[in-house]
Amino acid sequence: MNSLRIGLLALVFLTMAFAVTLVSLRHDQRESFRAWTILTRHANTLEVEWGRLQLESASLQRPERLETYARQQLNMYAINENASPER
Amino acid sequence: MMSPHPDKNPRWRHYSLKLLLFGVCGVLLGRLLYLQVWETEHLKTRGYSAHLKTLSQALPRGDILDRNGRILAISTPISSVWANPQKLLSENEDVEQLARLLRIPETQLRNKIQKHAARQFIYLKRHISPAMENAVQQLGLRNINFQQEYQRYYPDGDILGHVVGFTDIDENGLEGIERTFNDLLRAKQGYAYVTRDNAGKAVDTFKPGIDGVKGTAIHLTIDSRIQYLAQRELASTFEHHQADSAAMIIVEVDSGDILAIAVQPGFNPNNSQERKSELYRNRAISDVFEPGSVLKPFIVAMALEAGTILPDTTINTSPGYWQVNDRTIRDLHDYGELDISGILSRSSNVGISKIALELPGSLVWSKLDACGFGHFPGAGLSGERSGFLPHHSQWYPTTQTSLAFGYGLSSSLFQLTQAYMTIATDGISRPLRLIKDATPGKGEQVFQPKVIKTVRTMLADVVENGTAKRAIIPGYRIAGKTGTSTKIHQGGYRRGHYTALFAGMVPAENPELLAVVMVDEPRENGYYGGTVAAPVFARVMPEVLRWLHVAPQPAPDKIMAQTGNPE
Repeated sequence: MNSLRIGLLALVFLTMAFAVTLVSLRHDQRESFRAWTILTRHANTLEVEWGRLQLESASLQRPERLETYARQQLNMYAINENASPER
Repeated sequence: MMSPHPDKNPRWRHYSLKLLLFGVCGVLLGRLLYLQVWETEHLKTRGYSAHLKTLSQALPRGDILDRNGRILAISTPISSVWANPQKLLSENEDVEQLARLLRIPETQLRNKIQKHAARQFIYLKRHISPAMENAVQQLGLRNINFQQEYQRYYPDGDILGHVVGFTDIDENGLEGIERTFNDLLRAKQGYAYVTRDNAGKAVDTFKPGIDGVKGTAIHLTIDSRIQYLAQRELASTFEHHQADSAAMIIVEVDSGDILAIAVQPGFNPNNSQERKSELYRNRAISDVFEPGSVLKPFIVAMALEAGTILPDTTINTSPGYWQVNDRTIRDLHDYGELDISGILSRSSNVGISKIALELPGSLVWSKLDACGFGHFPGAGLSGERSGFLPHHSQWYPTTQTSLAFGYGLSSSLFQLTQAYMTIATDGISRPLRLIKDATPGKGEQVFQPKVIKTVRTMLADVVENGTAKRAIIPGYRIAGKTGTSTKIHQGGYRRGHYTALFAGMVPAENPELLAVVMVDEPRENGYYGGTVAAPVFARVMPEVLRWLHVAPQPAPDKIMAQTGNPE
């Protein structure tokens, strides 16, 4: 009879322990999800910034812009410049 | 007082109570069955919709890059504003203020919300600026949400608009590379399945999500610096000659890589107002024309290979015209006795017709067919056309003479460039390549290398002594051929409507670069291929040669003497 009681108590204890562990794990999971959400948001921000920088870099490298800069700021000219009757 | 039947009443009560209990249990069980069996799906859906949500994960479309890794098309994140019209209306949100910040007339916004009142999702405005997004967020409206999307940008604007093409607001490719390679460039959307709290905030996931995949980047063989140069010079010519359109293709001969496809009038894919077919049509691949005299070198190559002529064979072109059946073939002047090189450098229609008539029709057709005329090019651009090459079984004697100087067949500039690859590559018809990762085509030997070398020497003479003197580049020997074809206008060939052409390769002995120029209907300052198209070659190619480190060659005195005065 005693052993049955001990067994029952152990079962109750284990059930309680599992219940607490389950709650704790759920809490951890939600915390991890929250952290993941923050990191994802941060990654998105970085991606926006990266996209902006790539676009800016591509715009700054435009051959048309470089030519204007070379002509106006550095007084450069193409070697076959005089060959063009239209300009 | 005792009842006369003491057991009867409690028994009745007992049975009644049992019946009631069974009844209640039966109703409860029935309800339970109804909810668990018949209504399961409906209740599940309601429960899920209250707490579970599927979040879509937007990912960018693949970039398009040039051969050096420079970005030609890129997707950058941008926000769109959306709302639930039902909630917006029921909670009486500040639509006036919202309309002001979104720069939409208030009545227009209200009408839009009313019109879609039955829906749970409508875009209020798509692709808003970060400043506008901040301002709307500051307004603190409960039922206004932001969705991250991507917008396509083309940093080079009108320099490569015709090649790269453009997408719609949902990033579906509509033209150019964007359209042809839409499936490759498009991102695969991902999904996250989340549980929400009472405030609607995602707190957990309820099942594993599906990861999205970013679109694949595509590397073109185009060199954006060369493309810019070609586009700049072509625009200058287009304006100077008041032409209808113009196009130029530059190819690296060894690999068949297309370095530039310039088209005028220009088109900027960033500007949605310019998305008109007459502007965005890539005329280098979709406009077909009769190539005219630029076809003559192919006839010479056929005749040399067939042995019907030798390089020093002379042909009498006097008196400057020749009657074939009911048709008179004319030259500009009476050139008298000409050798083969002279026929090409003077561009004699009479001379080339006499050469062509000595050849079997089937041979002429099979060689032109092998060069790619009449075939769909399959370069990977939307709007490609195959042109037209009639089968030799349908030819009359006049068809063959007309073909000899480039009439009676049609071709796009792209096909013409492809055909000229056989002359630039010692007789191999090598496919042109626009995508860097594509496996280069092996090609087919169409002409004997010895024959093609002879033809190239003759074409160098065309530039040095013939119609293409304005294609001369100091320090380099050029091989090329001009063409001026009369256009079909209102049912017949009409004077005053021409297509000016020039196909040139450099260095003539062992070409590294091939360029073909087409100017459609030049109206001012000349119309000949030699005066309109050849100068574009002479202005673009020196810088291309310099960039690609093609060293100048020690030029013969004759060329050096001419370069002092190319006119």
